[in-house]
Amino acid sequence: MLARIMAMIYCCVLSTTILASEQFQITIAHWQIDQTQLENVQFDWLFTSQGIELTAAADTIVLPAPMGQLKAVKLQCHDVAFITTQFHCRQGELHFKQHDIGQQHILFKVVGDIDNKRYQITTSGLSLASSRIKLDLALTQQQWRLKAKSDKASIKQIRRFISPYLTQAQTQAMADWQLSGDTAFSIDAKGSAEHVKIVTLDMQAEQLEVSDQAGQYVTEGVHAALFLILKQQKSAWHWELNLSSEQGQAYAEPIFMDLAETSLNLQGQGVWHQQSNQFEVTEATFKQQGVLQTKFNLLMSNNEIARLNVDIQSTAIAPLYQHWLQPFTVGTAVDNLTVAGAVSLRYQQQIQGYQLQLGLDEVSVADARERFQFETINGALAWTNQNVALPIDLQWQSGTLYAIPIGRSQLTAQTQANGLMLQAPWEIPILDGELKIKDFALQSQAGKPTNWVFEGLLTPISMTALSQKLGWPTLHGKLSGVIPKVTYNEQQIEVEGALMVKVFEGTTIIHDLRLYDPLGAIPQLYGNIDLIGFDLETMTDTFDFGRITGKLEGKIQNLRLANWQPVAFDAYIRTPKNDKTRHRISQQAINSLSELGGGASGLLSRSALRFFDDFSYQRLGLSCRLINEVCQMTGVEETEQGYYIVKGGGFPPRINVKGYTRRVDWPVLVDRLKAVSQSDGPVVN
Amino acid sequence: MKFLKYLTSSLVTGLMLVSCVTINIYFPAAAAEKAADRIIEDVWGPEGQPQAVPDSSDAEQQSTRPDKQSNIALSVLNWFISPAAAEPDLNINSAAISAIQQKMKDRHSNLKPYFDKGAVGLTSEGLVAIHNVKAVSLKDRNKVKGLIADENEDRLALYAEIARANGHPEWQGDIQATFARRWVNKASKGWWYQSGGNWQQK
Repeated sequence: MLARIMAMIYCCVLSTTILASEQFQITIAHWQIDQTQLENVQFDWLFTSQGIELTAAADTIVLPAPMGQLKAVKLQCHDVAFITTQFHCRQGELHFKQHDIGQQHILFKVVGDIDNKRYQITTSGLSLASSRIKLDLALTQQQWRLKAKSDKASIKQIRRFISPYLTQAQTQAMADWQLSGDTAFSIDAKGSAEHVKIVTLDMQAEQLEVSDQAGQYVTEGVHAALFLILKQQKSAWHWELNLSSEQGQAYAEPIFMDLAETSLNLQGQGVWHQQSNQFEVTEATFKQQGVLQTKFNLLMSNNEIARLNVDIQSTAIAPLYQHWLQPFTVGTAVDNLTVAGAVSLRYQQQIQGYQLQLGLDEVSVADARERFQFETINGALAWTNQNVALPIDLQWQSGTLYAIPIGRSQLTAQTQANGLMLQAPWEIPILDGELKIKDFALQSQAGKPTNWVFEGLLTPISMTALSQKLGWPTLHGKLSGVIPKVTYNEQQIEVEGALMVKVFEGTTIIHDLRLYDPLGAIPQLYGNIDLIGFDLETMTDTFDFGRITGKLEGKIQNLRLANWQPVAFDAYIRTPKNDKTRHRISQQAINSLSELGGGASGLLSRSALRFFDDFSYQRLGLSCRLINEVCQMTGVEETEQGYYIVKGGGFPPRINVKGYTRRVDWPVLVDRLKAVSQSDGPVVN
Repeated sequence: MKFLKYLTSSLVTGLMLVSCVTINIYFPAAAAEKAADRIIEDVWGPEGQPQAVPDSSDAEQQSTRPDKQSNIALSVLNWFISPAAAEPDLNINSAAISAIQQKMKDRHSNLKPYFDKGAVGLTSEGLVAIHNVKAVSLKDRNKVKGLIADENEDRLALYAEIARANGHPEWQGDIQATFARRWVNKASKGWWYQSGGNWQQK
């Protein structure tokens, strides 16, 4: 449209060359030139001592779309001069009114050389979308150059102004976006005939507010500067770009940037092959102040990524995690970490797949929910969906997993085709023992749940240290196991084989272990446990329960721990059949048992039995079926109203301990167990 | 013909008896509502409790106002099963439930402002979701997404754990549906909730 206005001014000026007298006037009622119609046209020529003054006016001029009708058109040139084939008008004015752009008052200057076909037109005062625009057009036989510079303009008004000229598809696309703010620009374009050779655009935006309907892409108060050079060579547009922003906030789900805190700069260059629909970024640098600096190149072919290379040199991982990684991990086990150290990244993508390589330098990771923590991680991590092997070599100095300390370890593996395989046995020290992992293989394909499998061997771990770390009563013994297969699938870890705990001179065998949702809100652990050949004397001494001698066996079936707390099981402990060991139970143990049952302690000390230190028993036992926070109890034998927990027998003095309550509140029982194991025992007077 | 009519009516009556028993009696709807209310009142606190008259849920109506057929069904059932077994209490006192309840309670002070300004609402599945993202400042959007993800993880775990703790993992869906109704019922005035696929404001 601006070109049309210029052309119109130019045509009007040329038409003045046919007149010559002191004062000359031509009036034309209706004039049509091609598709342009003029009504009530009047030309006035006035010859003064300063030169020629030209006034041309028309009631209406109807131009081809999109300009349409101009009303009250008046063109004045105060100093028209002709010297041979050269002419000029240094003080020109143009007034008109148009529906879309309103009343216009444009000052212009025209200098022409008809023989050499050189023309220079300068205008100012064109008012478009609340902005004043200066235009400078230079025409020669070979080329043209147009410079345009605008004052600050409202983006809303620009949008309203350009809306009649958009296609339906463009209008629909624009309707999904809310835009406001101010912008100013300057354009310098060169070309010949209809061919544009080079365009330089310098644009600033202030208080830029952009929002799509879903609120996924939003800016608030953004100030940005864009510098763009476009050069056309053959059918390709070569471009150079510099975009920077230091003020405002931007959100592109899920990435948020406070540009005042972390300013942005994007520099790049590339080519746009219009005919083959290929867009190439040959080299670009993206800098986010204090967060990252990355170099990348990209080739888009038919709107798909044909090549992408991203390179991030060593950079602090903490801001990178906060701004670029954490937003993508919301709702996962790694969405609330404290990280430190440095990381480098290389990402390569082609049509057939991608390769990601990460370098970690003195990295530490700690989960805010205290489920895991690793210190001083160094090495290389990699992942690819292509059928090429990339090495993984990772070491950490120390760590913890649910309060269990883990020692220095090294992972040597390789990744290939969405999978990871160990290249050497992975040895993970746990307290004084070690978990040896062999044949670890992990698969994680897009759209399918991650799964892994390994063979393991657990060398003996001190139960004393382990029980202390887990906040359990101190247990003595060793935990070990041969694990033929551990699998993880659909959020469930399943352990084939058995773990063995050598404790209280007996053996605990833990089998059918399953752990569901290990890093979830409530991890669920299922298993079955066999207790074989426990020595009661060692056991009761450990817990300060009061001495009992004899052997003990038991089973804990269908055990379920929720959030590491027992919530269901079907268990019993009892004297093994045909146990030949000596069966004695002390006064303190009897008192402890009665305390467990909620009775008063020290009952024996007030009876005649207080003269005996211990008593003989035939067998003892207790079973508990825990469900719904209630332990349903039975003993070794039923009585009329209850059950025997301890059945007397052997050499006198003998004693029976009976239970009458069948349903015991589990939390109360646990509290009593804790109290009994921590008490000093009854006082015998 | 009379015999055929008798046979048909007996069959229909029999079928109705069976259907009433399996749907209405097995899941302790009233107990589940009480349990849900206790947890919700604890998590949300006394503040903001609505003045609303408790709306009788469908399940409650079914179990407390049985029709003639289900009266027969109840008496038949009671003959086999004691009333306590037919309408068992719902236990919500396990350590795991308490732990998760405490986490939700701690989180509520962070979530409440977003319920109040309509940014977050209650879904018909007993979860929470973004209702109006524009009510959240750009800076806080990921924080709110995180709060919602954590809250939903805990809510799902809570429903599953209540079902498991009571020895009926298959109740999870019913418990979730009960909670979904009770969260909405207990929501403060002005909060948003989903109903029939649309957002509505209390």
